[in-house]
Amino acid sequence: MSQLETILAAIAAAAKIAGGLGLPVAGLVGNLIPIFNELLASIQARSGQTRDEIIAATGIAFDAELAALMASDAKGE
Amino acid sequence: MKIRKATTIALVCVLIAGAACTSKVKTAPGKTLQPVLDSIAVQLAQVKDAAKAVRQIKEVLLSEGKITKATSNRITKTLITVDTVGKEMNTKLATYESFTPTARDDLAKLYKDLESAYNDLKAAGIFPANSGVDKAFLIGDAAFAGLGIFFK
Repeated sequence: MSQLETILAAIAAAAKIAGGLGLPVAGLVGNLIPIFNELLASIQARSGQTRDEIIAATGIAFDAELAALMASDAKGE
Repeated sequence: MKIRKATTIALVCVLIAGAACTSKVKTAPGKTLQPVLDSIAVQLAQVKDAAKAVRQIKEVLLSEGKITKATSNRITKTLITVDTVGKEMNTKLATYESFTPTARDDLAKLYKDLESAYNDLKAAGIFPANSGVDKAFLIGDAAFAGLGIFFK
């Protein structure tokens, strides 16, 4: 596990523990936790891949992002 | 509050750790090690992650009524530029087998456009304070710090 993955995993674990203890994990942090989890998953998916595999996955993700943004733009959002 | 502080500290650490994951890129059989191209691929993937995080936060802010529809649309249009240039740079990166001066010059042009679009997003001043978007920008900043090594 890289240093980056360790940090992100620690954030996810801290949030899970706080949630389990009934501590409030709301607002800003509450909104960010799913995003951190997704980022961690994204980084872990890249680990051990070749450059070509990373580039291919990034290209697909950029396409998906652009599709989501175009849909928002069409709604004026 | 403690979690928020820990999150901020951890994300600052991401800036330092950004290059660490590069070493985990596997060299395909029959190919020679190209650490610069590998690093660019990883950092570009991280730019994509940051842009996605900004979009997700923007959607939360819009749904909570913390930004207007017009502001949301302004952010969307800037993100379209970031993702379009990022995709172009990623596509171009795939065409190189080594980091030659030509590859560097070609990618540097796209890097400048990408950085400019990203800075527009950051400088827009359209995100409310404490909206969480600053954390997403830290992720992007880490990636740009990594990319800047090769193009500045």
